Order: sequence, then C-alpha cells, then structure tokens
Amino acid sequence: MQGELEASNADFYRVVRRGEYLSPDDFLPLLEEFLAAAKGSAHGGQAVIMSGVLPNPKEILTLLDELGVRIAHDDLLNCSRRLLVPPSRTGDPFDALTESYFAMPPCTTKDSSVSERVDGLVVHSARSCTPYSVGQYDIKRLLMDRLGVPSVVIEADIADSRVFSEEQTRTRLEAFFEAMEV
Amino acid sequence: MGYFLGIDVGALSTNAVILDVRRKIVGYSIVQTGANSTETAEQTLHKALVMANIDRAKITSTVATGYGRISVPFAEKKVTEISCHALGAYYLYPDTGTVIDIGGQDSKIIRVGDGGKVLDFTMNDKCAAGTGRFLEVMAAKLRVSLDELGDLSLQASQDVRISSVCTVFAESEVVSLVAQNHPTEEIIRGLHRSTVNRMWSMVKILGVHGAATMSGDVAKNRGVVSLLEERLEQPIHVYREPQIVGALGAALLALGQAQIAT
Repeated sequence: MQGELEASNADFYRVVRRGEYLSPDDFLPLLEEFLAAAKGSAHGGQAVIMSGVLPNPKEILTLLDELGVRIAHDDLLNCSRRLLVPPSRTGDPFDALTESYFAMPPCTTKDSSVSERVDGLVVHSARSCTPYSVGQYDIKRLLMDRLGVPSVVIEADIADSRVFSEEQTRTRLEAFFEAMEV
Repeated sequence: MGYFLGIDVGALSTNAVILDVRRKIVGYSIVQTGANSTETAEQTLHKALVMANIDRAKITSTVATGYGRISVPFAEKKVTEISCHALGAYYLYPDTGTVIDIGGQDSKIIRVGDGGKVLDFTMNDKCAAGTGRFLEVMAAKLRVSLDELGDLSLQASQDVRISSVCTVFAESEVVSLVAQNHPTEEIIRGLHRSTVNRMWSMVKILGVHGAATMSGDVAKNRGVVSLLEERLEQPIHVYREPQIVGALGAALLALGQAQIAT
C-alpha cells in the first residue's frame, strides 16, 4: 500500500481516528470506501515520520499538507504502535518490547534505515502527557548525532487546545523544512 | 544589477537591510512595529532607502521574514527568521556555530553549519520567559528605561535571586524585592540571570558549537551578554545593530535569488 494513497495527511488520520470509536461493522465499510476513493499515487514532497501522540488539534496535519510534506510512516502511540503485539508479561520488559517490535506485521521498509526511508522526523510533544513526552529531546539529539536524521519537536496537546499556537508551529515547521531543502 | 532588500517584521520591531551587489550593507532601518504590519514595513523600507540614498525602483529583489512576513506585499519570497538569522550571523562572523536570538516575543538557539546552513534549532515561542518582553515588563516595573538595564546591572556587586522565570510570577517577586528595599541594580542583575538561566536550558539542548553570535534587541544589553558569556565560558559576538541580523539574512537570500535568476 505504501505510496499508493493520494489522501492528504489530515484526511488519512481523520479516517484512522474513526476506528477509535466506531464498531468494526461501521468502521470497515467506511475504511474500504476511503481506500477506494484515495487510490492513486502519493505526491513526491518531503517525507517524514511522525512520532508521539496523534496531534489534536488537526491543524498540525493541515500545516504539513500546506507545506507539501507527506507523513510516510508514523510511530504514534494511538496509531501504528497499536499494531504492536502485546508484550509478554514475564521476564525483562525491554526484551519483551524488542520481541513485540519484531513480531509486528511485516513492513515493506524493513531492513532499510530511517535515513533511507524519510527526510526527517516530526515529534509531537503532548503537554498533558508528561511521562510520555520525557526523553523526546534526547531522541531528537541522538537521531542527529548517530544517524544524521534531522527532527523537529512541536508542542500541542491531546486534550487542551490552548497549548497549540498555530503561527508558532507553522514557523517551526517551515524553518525545519527550509533547512532540509538547502 | 541593483540592490537587494531584506525586511524582518518582528513582534516589537520591524527592520530592513539593503545590500548592494558586492554584499555591502548600504542602508538599514529599525522601526517599532505598529498596529499595521504592512504600513510599518513601508515605513521601514522608506527609512532604509533614505539612508542608502537610492530610489525604490532600484530594488531588484525582496525577501521578507519574521512573524509578519506574510504582511509584506512587495516581497517576492517569505522565509522564516530561523534561516535568516543563521545566514545573517554567518555573514557577519563566519566562525559562528551557534546563534542565540532573543527577540521581542520569542527566543531561539540555532546551530549553524558551513555557509550559514541551519543544522538544528530550538525555540521558546510559548511564553515571555527569556524574551525581550520579559525585560520590558520588568524595566517598567522598576521605572527605568530598557536601554539603562544593561549598564545598571553591571554596577551591581551581587544579584538577588529571582526564582521564577515566568514574567507574571517574576513581576510579583520584583514587587516584594522593591518592598524590601533591595537596590535596583541588584534586582536587575537577578532578572538578567533569570533570563540567562532560561536561555541556558535551551542552549543545553543543542550544545554550543563553534563561536556564539547573539542577535535581537536584548543583545544590546551588556548585562545579559556578560552573564551569558560567563555561563557559556566563551565570548559572544554581538554586531553593533543586533536587531538587523535577521533582515540581513533575508537581504542575502534576496541577492542569492536574483543571482540564480540571471
């Protein structure tokens, strides 16, 4: 399916979120309808991985659409990571987590490094989920130091819309993609 | 080939730089941003043209930056201030590896590579802590002008501790310190340290690489600069007009753009 959807980032995640509250009987036909309507080829703009929690407000996704940036993959706790097989509850938790990652559905990008797959990483730091957001700046630094992959942290929230400032976020994202273009 | 204009519409000031084809600054201006960004941009351009002693028609290409960059109708291109500050600082001091910009309403640390390329950046665009606005509020509270802050703080033999970096809470602390009759110079030095502590927490995220260059209005404040130098354990480059660094970067982009086009 990779690269075969013509949908915008905002539309794609709007559909994904429906799965959170609709019953499978209601959700699956909608999903199939969306897949049929969105069939086409993804535009060739800069590709990024989105990490963190799926941002709410959706304006962040619209901003990325306006900048011509495509979310090629995500590491969002309420999207892709839900596909993880539940870690086994015995033994070393890190081993269990590693096992889970390897037990994930086969990925077409397997065996290629992050730097080959995308141009950068957009990290959403959710203010009201502090334990989750801890370490995001370390991830950002390590990605650059070890892999040379640039990333940008944007701040919003999953519940409190006051945390999100659209113009400031736009400046951060624009600056990030300007630096990647040069 | 004419002249090249960079215009930086910031929260507190709007700045313009005009370059000639040899990349020499022939005119610049700094104007307080009024209620209408487009009008302020016009005034800023006019003042810079007067200084350069050229006609508007001689401007070949214009790049706008800053928060009001979308409100400059005569700019052919709009670029963020992050890219522009990096380029401007690199042009002035080619050994720049880190740019520390304290603007009117936000502050940012930019890691700069060869040619003025942005390698990474981090910014505080959420609150007034560690921005020019913080110092402006405190200067008003202490009844001193913004320009006096730096010199006054250098006269202090010690600083009082301001524990909050938040503008609202720090203002309350200042009220208490005034009530306790602490010397104004010491309070100001404490406020500067609070600003520097806020900046330091951002600097630590990216680390200091190469020489540091400071831009933005607060760079004119010798008190803040000297405390930051102490913290960084290295001297900081400050241009004589640190507010125009972003506009200078925009003008350099305007020139580069015109050269590509011809």
